Amino acid sequence: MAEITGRGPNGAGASPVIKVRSLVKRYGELVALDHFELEVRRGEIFGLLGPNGSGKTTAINCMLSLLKYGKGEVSLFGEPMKSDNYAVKKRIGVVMQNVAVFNELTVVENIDYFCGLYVPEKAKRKALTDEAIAFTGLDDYRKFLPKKLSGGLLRRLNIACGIAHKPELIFLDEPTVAVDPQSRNHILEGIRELNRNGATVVYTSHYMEEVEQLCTRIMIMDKGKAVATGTKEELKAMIRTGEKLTAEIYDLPENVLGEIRGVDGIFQADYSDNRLTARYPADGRHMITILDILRRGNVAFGRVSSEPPTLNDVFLEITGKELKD
Amino acid sequence: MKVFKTCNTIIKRRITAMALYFLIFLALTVIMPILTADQHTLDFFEMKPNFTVINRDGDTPLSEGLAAYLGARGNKVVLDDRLETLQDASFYRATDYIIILPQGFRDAFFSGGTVKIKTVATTDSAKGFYVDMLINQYLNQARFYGSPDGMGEEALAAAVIRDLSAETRVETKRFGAGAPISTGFLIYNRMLSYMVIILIILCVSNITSAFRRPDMRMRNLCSPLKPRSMSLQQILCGVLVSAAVWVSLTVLGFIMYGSELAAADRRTVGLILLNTLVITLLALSVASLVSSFIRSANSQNAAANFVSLGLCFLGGVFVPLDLFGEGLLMASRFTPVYWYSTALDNIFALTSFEWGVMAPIWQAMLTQLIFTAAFFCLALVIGKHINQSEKSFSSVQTELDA
Amino acid sequence: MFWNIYWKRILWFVRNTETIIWTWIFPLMLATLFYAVFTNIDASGQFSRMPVGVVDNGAYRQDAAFRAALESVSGEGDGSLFDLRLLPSQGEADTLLEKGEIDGYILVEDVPVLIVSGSGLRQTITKSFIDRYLQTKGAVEAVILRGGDFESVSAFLEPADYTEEISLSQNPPTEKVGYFYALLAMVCLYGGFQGMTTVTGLQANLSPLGARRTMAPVGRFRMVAYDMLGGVTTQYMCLLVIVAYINFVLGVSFGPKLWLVLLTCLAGSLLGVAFGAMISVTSKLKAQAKIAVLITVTMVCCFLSGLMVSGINYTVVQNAPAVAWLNPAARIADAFYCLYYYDTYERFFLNIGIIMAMTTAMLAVTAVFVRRQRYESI
Repeated sequence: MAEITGRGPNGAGASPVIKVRSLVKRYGELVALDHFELEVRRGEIFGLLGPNGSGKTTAINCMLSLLKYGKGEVSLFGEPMKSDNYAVKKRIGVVMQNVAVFNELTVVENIDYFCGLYVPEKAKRKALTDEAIAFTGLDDYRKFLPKKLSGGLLRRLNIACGIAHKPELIFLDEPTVAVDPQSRNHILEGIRELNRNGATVVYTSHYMEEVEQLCTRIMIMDKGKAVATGTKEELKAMIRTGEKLTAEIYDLPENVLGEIRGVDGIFQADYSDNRLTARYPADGRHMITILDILRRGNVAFGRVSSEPPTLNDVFLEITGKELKD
Repeated sequence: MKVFKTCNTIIKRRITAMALYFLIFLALTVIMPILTADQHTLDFFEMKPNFTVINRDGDTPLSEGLAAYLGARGNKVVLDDRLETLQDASFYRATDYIIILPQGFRDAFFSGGTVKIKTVATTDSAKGFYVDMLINQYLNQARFYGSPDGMGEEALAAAVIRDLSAETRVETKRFGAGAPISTGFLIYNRMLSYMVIILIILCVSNITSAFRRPDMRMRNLCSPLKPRSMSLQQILCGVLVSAAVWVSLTVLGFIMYGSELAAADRRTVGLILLNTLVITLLALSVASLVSSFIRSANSQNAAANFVSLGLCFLGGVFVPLDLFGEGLLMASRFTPVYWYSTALDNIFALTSFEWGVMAPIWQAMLTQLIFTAAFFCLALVIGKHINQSEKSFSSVQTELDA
Repeated sequence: MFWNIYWKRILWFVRNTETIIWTWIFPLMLATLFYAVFTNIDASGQFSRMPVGVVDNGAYRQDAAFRAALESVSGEGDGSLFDLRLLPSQGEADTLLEKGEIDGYILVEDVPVLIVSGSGLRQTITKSFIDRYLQTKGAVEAVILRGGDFESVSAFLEPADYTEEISLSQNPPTEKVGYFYALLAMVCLYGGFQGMTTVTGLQANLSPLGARRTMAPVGRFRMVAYDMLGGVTTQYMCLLVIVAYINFVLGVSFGPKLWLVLLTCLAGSLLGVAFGAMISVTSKLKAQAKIAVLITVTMVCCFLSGLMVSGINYTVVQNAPAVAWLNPAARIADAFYCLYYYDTYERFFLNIGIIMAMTTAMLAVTAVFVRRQRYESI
């Protein structure tokens, strides 16, 4: 992965690698993408986060020119992306949501095949294939047919097939669906490694923790639109929630809850499942106020915790619904 | 009955494919007997060999007389005097006998020379023998008049034909019960076995293939439904399809041959229908068995074709059983369609409804039913075995329709 | 690049055990079956001695001339027509006739009468023999009445043979080979599944694999062409194995020009693959429906080229020449037939030309659809 290190993370902020302008895609009546806009800079790991059906995969397939779209412009590497723009395609790696490998070819043959579509020289290809195998930790399974691989290994093979040719821009469409934690960590670490070596990554997922850990910039999507874009800090700063308090309470009288709700600055307090949650801006004093109120009301409480907002909170506050499944 | 209902839904979803199979094979069922009517029916038709006269000697009363004489006893097929045309016609038996009158034949004939007529016929064929006989009879009769000088050639030819018009009286004795059933219907019913088998295999395997995918199989096995019940419900859906096949083919048969069957004995027609019903059941059992082995569309196609063609060729559907060698005949007794053909032939040759005459028919039908039961049992056993074998799991669907 | 795509495609096929079994083993089995069934087919319609009865009554015993004539063509020997059975009574004769042990029987009253239970070739020949006897008898009587000489009568007693059988072709006509040629045509059209695999695995809207491969920086046509070539190669290997088996193991002749047989196989493979590709490009039909189209079209074409009943192809040529010329299976089978049966090669090359033209047309249709790489939905 050494050859393109020159365009490492420090190149970030330069000309955008992906630029999408007011993309509209309809499936009959359904508007899958509604004036979708996107800009990805060189060296980023860009996360597309959204619930199922929010248009992440459609957006990627449109960017790749696999899908026709009604309106809008897509340019990759500063060039308009067309389905016969092979110069651009050569610089892209794709890892689809569905595992797309030949059942009849072994691990090494599959990787060699897909790599061979980009790199004609045999010797170079062999080196790249070996590197990809080492990279995805499939060394022990070189001669295995895909159907002998476990789900996680199969996902790794799927990724290996997409990145073996060392693309500058990699699209990863939910690569960790149905993968065990070890494999997932392995995959995420691999993506960081690719990025360190200079690749720009577009990553979609509906696992917010994953996106939060991995991505340098994130776009939250809902109903075919970008709801918010920025670094995770920027996103979290967008919302009122600065801190979220959770307290285990066996029985919370209605009037105490009312009192908590009445505190200036606490904009949300709910009690359900023996659990009190309250949201307020992060300034450190609301927590003490709430605990005071509870003590005055003689309410016994168990564990109390306070945590900074998650992307889920961001999504919840903007769209009014949970991001989680 | 969830599986059964799902099968029906699958039929609805794949109706295009099903309808296509039905339409095409029903169309073939209509065409096939029409195109095959005259094939291999050695002992049924009024015998009129097809012959062709290629006259390179110019039209003479002698040659015209010969053509007229043969024309009364055979069907004249007109062909161009081109080698390829003659080759094709003789290869495909469009003509049984080609008579080539060489140049100078007439002159040589009357001057007592030996210019022979060149003939092309299938070696040792009975038809060839018959036409040979007719030609020699005509020419020997003509030779009897010697030269045409006295009476004129036309009068000579006329005299020969007059001489040869003496005919034997032939009486035909009918031993059969009722009017005979048309040969067209016999051939229709013979072909029907092929149609039934291929159609049912295609449709049934199409439905069950949805259940054969390894992940589906694993999922189903986790349900509280017994594998046997699952198989039985799929077979039940097959019964529905088979009934549709049988009814359409039966109705089609009556539409095409109804008028010819009007005079036939009802009991004979009933037996024929019973026999087709038996082969339909048999086809369903074959389909159940075959579809347990099918996993991909590719093999579905090949299996349907080869199993149906194989069984039908061995069973004497396309080539009559009389042409089989002794060993092959023994082998084909171990295949089910043989018994269908045997029952059918016996029904058509039926002379009375006495037990002695009927016995072989009942026996043949019973044998088919035994085959049916055996195939069903085998299908259930294999279904159970495949469901339990480790090999049928551990496969992941990574391509569409892989 | 070429070898990568091409070779992996062949590997794909070779590893697919199930496909191998159905597309290789079963044509071989069917060929073997044909061999067993058709060994005797050319014997159909061959002449053999006919069992004919004659009622041994007084009239028959008195008619010495007829008796002599009958006996001269009965018994063992080359010129023998009848396996003659002398039957004591007409009742006995009827019994044998009903059982089908004799084709018919002759009852001599004032003239011989033929009694049969059905009409057919053997009955016709028997009748024709009696006709000949009656005609000859009439002629001889006429000669004697006119006071003719012995020489004229001898024309009847020693009939001359005026016919001489010739052969029209290098190889004898035989129904058997037609079935094998039609079988090969069917195997060629099975190449459709290779074409279908190629297109399905390359179209983004038909499979995930297709989507991934569409993203490769390889020209669309090159990709399809290399992959399809792999498909043609596997199909060709399959055909070669079957041809070799039919020719060398089963001993079915393909005529003297083996390299032209190989050419026909190649053209047939191309046609089959192109056919499957053309059917699978449209996304309007579901996968199952496409397969149904492929199967039914293949079976109809094969039927009309004589796979089930030999000679159908000729009937079609006579009655609907356009159908025959447009039927790919018939063209392939006919090309094999030309090699076997004809001495010249015009029609063979005409067939090959038509096969190639059809292939080109199908590939052109495929190309129009394949060029598109962007879809309304995937």
